[in-house]
Amino acid sequence: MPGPSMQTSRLLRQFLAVSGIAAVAVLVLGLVLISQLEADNDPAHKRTLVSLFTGFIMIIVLLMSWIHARLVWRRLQRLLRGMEQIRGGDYPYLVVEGNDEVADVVRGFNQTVEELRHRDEKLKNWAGQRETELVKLSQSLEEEREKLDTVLDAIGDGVIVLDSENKVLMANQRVSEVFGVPLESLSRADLNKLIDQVRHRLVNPELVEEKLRQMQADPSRIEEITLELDEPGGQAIRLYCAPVRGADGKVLGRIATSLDLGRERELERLKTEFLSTISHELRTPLTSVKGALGLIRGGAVGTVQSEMRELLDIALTNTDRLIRVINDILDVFQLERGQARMRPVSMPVAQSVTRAVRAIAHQAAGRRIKVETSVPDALPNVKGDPRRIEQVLVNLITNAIKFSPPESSVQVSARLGGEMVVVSVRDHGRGLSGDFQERLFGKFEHAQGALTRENQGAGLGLAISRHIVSAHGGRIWVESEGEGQGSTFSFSLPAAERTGGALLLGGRQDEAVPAGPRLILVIDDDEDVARVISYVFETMGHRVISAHNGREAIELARRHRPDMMTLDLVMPDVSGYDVIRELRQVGDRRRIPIICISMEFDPGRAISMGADYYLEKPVDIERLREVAERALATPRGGNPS
Amino acid sequence: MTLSRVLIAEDDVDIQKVIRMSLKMRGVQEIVVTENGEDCLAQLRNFQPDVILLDVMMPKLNGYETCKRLKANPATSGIPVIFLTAKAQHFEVKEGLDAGALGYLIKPFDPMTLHDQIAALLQKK
Repeated sequence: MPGPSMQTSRLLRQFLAVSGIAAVAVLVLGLVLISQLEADNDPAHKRTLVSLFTGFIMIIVLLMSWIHARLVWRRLQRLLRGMEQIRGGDYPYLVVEGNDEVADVVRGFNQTVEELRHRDEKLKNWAGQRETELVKLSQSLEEEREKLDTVLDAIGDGVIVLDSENKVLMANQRVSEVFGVPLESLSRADLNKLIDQVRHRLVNPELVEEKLRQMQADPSRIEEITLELDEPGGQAIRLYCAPVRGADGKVLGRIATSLDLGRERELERLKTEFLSTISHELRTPLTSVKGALGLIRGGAVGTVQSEMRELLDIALTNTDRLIRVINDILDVFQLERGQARMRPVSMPVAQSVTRAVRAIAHQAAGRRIKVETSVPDALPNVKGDPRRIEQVLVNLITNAIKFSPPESSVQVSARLGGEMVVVSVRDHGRGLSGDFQERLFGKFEHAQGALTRENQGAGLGLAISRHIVSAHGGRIWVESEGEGQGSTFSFSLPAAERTGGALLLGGRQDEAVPAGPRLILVIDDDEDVARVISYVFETMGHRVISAHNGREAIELARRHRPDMMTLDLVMPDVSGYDVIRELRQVGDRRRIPIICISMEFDPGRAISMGADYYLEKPVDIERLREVAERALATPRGGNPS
Repeated sequence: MTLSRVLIAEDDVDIQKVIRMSLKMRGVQEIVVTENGEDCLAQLRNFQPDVILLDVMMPKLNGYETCKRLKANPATSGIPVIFLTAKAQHFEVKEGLDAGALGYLIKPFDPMTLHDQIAALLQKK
């Protein structure tokens, strides 16, 4: 289409054409008027004619202009209406009238409208397809969401997904019940605010707040928060909060699972109740059995003949075996729950080895098995509860004896391995297969099947030993080349810190050990007991002085500097503990070996204060002799081995 | 310390006999046996023992409660109480000692050393 500047405007030409017709009409009328004026002599008439003619011309010009403008305006009006229709969403087609510029504009308009319509149709088709896809996607998402919600709600425990600011992104019905907040309100809720809502019900609000602070300070931290609710039944919820990381390892948020401890505690309560009841119901008749047998055996109803004594011993031994099983069951469950108390002190392993070997001596002799010990003098002390370590050793040596062939030997040894002292018990029995080694330290495990095993026991000893060693920060394991090759059970315990060699055992010679009779101080407020103990030492060829209260004991110890002393811990006024404290003051280089002989519940306390040995009352005479010999053989200034 | 008067609260007749014989053998002169906590408390109106041996599981009034009542009463609070019971779990021992007992002995016990164990606990007092 030619542009207006390219050639004379068709609209102008049209106007000129109309104007030309008008001009011709005016010219014809002008000629008619001139002829009339030439024929007419009346000036007034002439003026009238001229005026009429002029008026006529003006009317013609105005009429022509109006007609032309009207035509153009009408077409432009249609264009404007067309545009209005486009805005209203229609695609109008305008009839092209004439062949002027307006007609060109109308044609252009129609063409644009057509293109627009075409483009819109394409857009609508595309949008329709996208919408269909979107609907499908949305349905699929909804289905997935429903599945996820069903799965989340089916989980008995609460699940919360949190963003990096601890705001809830997703949670299940259980969480809503825990916090007493409708599920819909949980979205974008702040975990801290949710916990705030139950704060007044918490038994441990300070602890919970501290945990939340730690979690916020270190987003990568795995935190365990226990919400203990102060209400009947004592509901408790444990939240395990673990970080969720992106592909780049950055923490994106957290996922927290809440575990209702109520069920766990109820099960625990039932287990405890069951154990308590069963233990009580077994112990009660055993008390009568052991009591009656013990009284007869002890001569309470007359002299016991040797054959009868033998039978009574069998009955008593087996009663004790039954009691041990009950004790072991209680022990293992208490150890599992961390309820058993450990009282670690710095202690020589050699002492526990000696005591354990003595405890199983009868058993070893019965099976004609030799128990050999090898504990280096220079081995450092370990941090351990003496009674518990002895219990582990008794368990291991008992097992070794059980599974060793008669006339063989069992070796008990100890060595230093880094910061740990490793104690091993080796037997030459049938050994262990690889798969059994894996589960050996579990409860109720036996080397043979339940119906075929040759040896007695509930299968709890190793489980108990594992718990005891773990509670001391050590490890227990077994090595066996396989069946028929024997086994070595070992456990490690942390070595006690050495302070200037003070904890080193016997090997250090601060001064020579004198030979011949020695001076022993016996301290006991019960004069009969003191007399018996004194008699034991006198038969060993030593001199004895005795004290019957703590004050006297301290005075005699300072004045005579005895080579050894035995000490009752429970005495009026100044107790045995006070005596130890007084004598073990800093700078006491001439250290008097102390053997405590008492019935205290807590031997670890005396050992930790500086006593060297602990013997329970009523004291075993042979054991007292052996401990005394060991204590007297220890150089003064060193520690006993 | 000489032990001459002992009050026992124990519902098991066989165990009563064992305790009685065990203590008599060691020279305890007066032994009064009751079968439950209530009778034990009632007995104290006319018997002043050197020590009370309490079982835990007893009809009418259990040992823990009996011990608490004994300790709450100024007339009896000074009498040493020792539990002699088959309740051997850690928390049970704690409950007994928390109730005010001087000691806690677990059944089965050795009848030949029961007297010594009681005497040792009394010395601790």
